[in-house]
Amino acid sequence: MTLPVLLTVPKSANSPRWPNARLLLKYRRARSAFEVEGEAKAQGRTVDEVVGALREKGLFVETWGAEDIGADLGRIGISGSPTKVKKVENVVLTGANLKLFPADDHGVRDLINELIDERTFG
Amino acid sequence: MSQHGDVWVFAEVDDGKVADVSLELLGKGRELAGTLGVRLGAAILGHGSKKLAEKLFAHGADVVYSAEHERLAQYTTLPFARVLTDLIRDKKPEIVLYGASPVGRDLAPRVASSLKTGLTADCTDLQIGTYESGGRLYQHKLLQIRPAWGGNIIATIVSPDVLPEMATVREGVMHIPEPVEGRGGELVDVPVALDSEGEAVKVLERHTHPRRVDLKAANVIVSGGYGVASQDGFRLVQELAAVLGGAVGASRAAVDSGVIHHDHQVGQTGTTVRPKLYIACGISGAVQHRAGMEESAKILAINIDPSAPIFGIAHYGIVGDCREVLPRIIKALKGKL
Repeated sequence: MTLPVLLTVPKSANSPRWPNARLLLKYRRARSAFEVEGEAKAQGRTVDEVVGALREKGLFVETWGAEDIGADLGRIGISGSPTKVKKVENVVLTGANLKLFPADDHGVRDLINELIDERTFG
Repeated sequence: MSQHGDVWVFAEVDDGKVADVSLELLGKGRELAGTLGVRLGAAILGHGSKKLAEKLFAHGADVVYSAEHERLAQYTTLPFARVLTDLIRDKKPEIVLYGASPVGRDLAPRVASSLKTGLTADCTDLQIGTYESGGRLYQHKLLQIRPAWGGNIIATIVSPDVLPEMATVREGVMHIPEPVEGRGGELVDVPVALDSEGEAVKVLERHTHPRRVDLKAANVIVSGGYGVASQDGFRLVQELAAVLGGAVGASRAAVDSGVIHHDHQVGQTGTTVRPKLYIACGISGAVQHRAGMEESAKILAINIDPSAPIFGIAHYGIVGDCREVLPRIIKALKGKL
């Protein structure tokens, strides 16, 4: 078998473990490039300085954009999609002439009788 | 000669038989092909699957493209995608439909990507219609209709400029029309040339687990949702189902909470059902759930929230706490039936 290989699993494959509290605390300070810009300005430092410091501590989250992976801009995003949305409609509930029964013993008995009468039961 | 290409269904083979979802799609495909005035084709890939062609003809296929190869005996991604992609390139169908099964969901995106065409997943309806954009009118396009944005909208999607138009459809959404036994058609043998590229993965062993429940065959389904998503709450759902001789269903909320296996899930990511009676217990009725049960002959909803959307499609309703109402129903039924 040649690597790398791409595998997918269904949702039921595994239950995720609980997050590790120590790691949660550590990575609370992790930042991506988008977040760094604003913070650098606020701290009066350059973006490179902030990124360098984060990277040293393993707290910089790499972000790959379309250019980074050499994506064909004509083939991504909504303009590059071969499918288009023709229309969007709100779902109108058809309304099945709902017949409500009280939640007490009487209501329950009436409901069951009705279901038997119209041969949904039995 | 028609100006349109044919309508195709990818005929999935499951345990030596044509999968139900493929037969359902042949029914829908027949309609679409009729509207377009083209033939209905079925592509079947396998090793010894050619004999299933008769079944495909009986269910409406005019042409069956049969690709036979030992490496197609069981589904693996690359060989299937390769053979089907080449076949589509060669024959140029207008529309290709797949079941939204694990196989269809794996295969269709890869074929779409190779052909640089569009694909709409999990459609609940398919029609032929027009699309207008930028002053241009596209006619006889496949309208791919599906619920979207996790909410209460239905989107109609088209692939205006690319062919083939492709969609996956969930099992149970379309009806299987009565087959016409002995109905013939054209059987086309597809030459298969597979090189080593297809050998990235190999099937070593195959285990099958029977489904825990056959929801599609049940006359009565009692389903539980968030309102009964506890061991005790769900026990009441199971007890009511047992008293009625029905099957146990569930909404995604109940399955996610771990009280019941996914095989019981009804809805867009579960099974689509049409029983004589569907009893929704503590299910709010999100569109994804409704999509899987709203064609039930009768729907009884029990929910503590009178404004729950499930009441909008129910025939009978009780506003109340399932933990109180279900024991009353069970007790009353035990005295009656």
